[in-house]
Amino acid sequence: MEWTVVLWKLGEGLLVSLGIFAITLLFSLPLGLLVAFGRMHKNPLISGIIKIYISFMRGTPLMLQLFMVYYGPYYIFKVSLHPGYRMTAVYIGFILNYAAYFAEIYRSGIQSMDRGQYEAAEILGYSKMQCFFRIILPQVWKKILPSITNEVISLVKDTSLAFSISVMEMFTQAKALSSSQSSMLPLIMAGVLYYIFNFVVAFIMEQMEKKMAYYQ
Amino acid sequence: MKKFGRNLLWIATAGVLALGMVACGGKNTTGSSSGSKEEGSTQAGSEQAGTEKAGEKAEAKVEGSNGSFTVGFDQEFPPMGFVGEDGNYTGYDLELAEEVAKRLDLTFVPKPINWDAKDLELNSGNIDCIWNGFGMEGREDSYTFVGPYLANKQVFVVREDSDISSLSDLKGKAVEVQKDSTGLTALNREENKSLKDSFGSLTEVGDYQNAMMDLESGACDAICMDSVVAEYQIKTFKKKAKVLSESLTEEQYGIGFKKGNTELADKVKKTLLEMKEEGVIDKINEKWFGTREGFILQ
Amino acid sequence: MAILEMKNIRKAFSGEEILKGISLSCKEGEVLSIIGPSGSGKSTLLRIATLLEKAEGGELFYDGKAIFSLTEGQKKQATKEEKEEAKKLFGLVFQNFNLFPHWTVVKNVMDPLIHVQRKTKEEAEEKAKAVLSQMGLLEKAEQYPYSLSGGQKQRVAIARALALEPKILFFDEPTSALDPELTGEVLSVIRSLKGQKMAMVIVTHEMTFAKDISDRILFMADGEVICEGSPEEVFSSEQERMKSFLGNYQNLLS
Repeated sequence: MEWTVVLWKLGEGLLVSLGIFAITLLFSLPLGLLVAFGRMHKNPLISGIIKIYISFMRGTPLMLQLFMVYYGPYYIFKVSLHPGYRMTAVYIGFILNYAAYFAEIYRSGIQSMDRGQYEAAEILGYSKMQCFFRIILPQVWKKILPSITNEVISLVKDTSLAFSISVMEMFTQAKALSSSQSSMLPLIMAGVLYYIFNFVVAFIMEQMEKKMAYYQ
Repeated sequence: MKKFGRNLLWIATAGVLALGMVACGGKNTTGSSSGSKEEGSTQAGSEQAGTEKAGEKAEAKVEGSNGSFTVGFDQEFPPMGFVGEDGNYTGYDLELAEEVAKRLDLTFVPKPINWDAKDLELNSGNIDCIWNGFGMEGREDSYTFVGPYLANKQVFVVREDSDISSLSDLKGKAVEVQKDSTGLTALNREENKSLKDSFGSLTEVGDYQNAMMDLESGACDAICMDSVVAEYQIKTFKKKAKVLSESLTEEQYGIGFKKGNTELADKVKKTLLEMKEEGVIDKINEKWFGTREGFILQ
Repeated sequence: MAILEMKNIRKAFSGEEILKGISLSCKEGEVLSIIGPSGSGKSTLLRIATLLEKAEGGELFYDGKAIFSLTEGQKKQATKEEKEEAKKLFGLVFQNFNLFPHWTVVKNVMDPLIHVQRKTKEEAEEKAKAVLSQMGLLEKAEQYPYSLSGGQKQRVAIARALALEPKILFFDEPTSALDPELTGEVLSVIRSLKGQKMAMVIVTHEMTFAKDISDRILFMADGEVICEGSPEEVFSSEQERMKSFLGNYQNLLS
């Protein structure tokens, strides 16, 4: 097999991995914030439900969650599956899982904020919404950025779990090529691609942290 | 605070809805873009395009499929199903399946699956059958089978320079077998108990690729595997390995359909028999195994 | 008429009474200082006046309008809108400044003007710069709070409160978090406000300053008002608690 074919196949897988990565971040970051609000809600019913959700997402393997999201509708509700649901299930599984992790990061950031910031905003006449989005969130964001970076880098590697519901992402392609060629080379190439992927991610996150360093 | 909370709830609801829509939309774009990118290419390309088409035909594909024939296989299983030289899916079983689909006027969709999830894939209707050197033994009650169509032995592969030359030499050796494979089923048979117990260790590995690497590197002494796979591996990749002449009893490959889906199973069986009549099967056998022997479907 | 009027304010934390029925009032342009030992409830009183804390009993009026009225017979709270209205009348300067660290000095001052008072950006900037120059901080406008000294930070906080043009300004121990050599600049800024007829309620430990600036002084201990009057009256009071407090204070100085 030509190495260009190997690269082409790996590239196809990489596109799938990138898609999972981007869609997951795009939705789980805002969703995580909402989950964090639910977790801190005064109503014990709401905060209780959210607490259970977070502990389930963090306490069970992502692979199991993907199985549940994908096969659950059929096995639990007897709804026959649409072929296009496979990718959707991957997105939903990843988003729900990562939102739970992000929620806990947001929560720790929000709770570590000085009460004086809320009080000053209240005295100056800001509404609760304005206070949160203009004053609290920008500061929280700076505090939690290093933790977010850790999760984002884990996400790059976690995308390979999509194969558990037969989505052909990069690692799966690499394994298939490796067995058809009886060679380690495709796996090594995939490793290099993952490394480059994460190198770019780490670089972007570092730039963001630098950008936030204008105050202390 | 209350009003604040209520606002957030609205945002949350809107967010979840938007999520659903974009996630579905996202899938469509992915599918069609890779479809057009690979225009003209054959199997792997048409896999996605095929899935897409089946998707557009809405719920047409339920039990037994109208329009497409989706074959689930383990893409790490040469020569039955794997990634070919041109990057598209190929293999003995896939070639048979494609020809069957053509004759039944169905769109052939090879779908590589996570082997661990094969039952979930089949039962939920994502694939129409498992056609992938699939041993029938011990599984008769779980699937509706077409077959046996191919006879196969479970053999032991050892290094070329190995001093192991018979089954009795395996005593105390490190043996590997693919998990959930026919080889493992064979070893678990009552008649092979004393052989299995004589091994130094028996390790279940994910795929034959891992096992071959273990054998070459010395991490194991022998692999129990399907003879068709063993012959192909050694011949194609010029492995410094040999197959012991002694083997376990024969076992047979079948095509697994969802339990009760006899309608589709019967059609496939009839088509295969036609192909045998016309000599098409002989050609395919010769291409992959170098012999016309082997096809045993009655 | 009094801008601020508090009557018989009571407050307890986990069963312990912090405020045992405090009354005070502040007229337009009047400077009122509240002094007393730590833990006497001064700051809690201020937090109740600024609606950061809820009282358990008593009444609060701004400009004659009741914000809450929690007496034997009735429990009345003003509507949310009425409270918002009252909030526009006062400002508060915190002990710990509570500037917004992610904004420049000028942004700290002008942002509430834009997003709370709905002024245009130009108006807000003009106003912010005017107040900052009044505080002698115009050249710091584009810096971030972390690069300022404590005294400068507190002056920015005062500028931020002033820019909203309150009728009455509360100070909660405005120099307690500062190094001694930095208190002077903050106190002189507060003094300059007296010249502008700004009504002020100041909780402070700076006795000399309180004596100097106040129209009236209120001495609190153990949740009660011990004595109240002009600086001369309070500082020459024969009241036992007052004398021992001032005695301790003078010992500290010498």
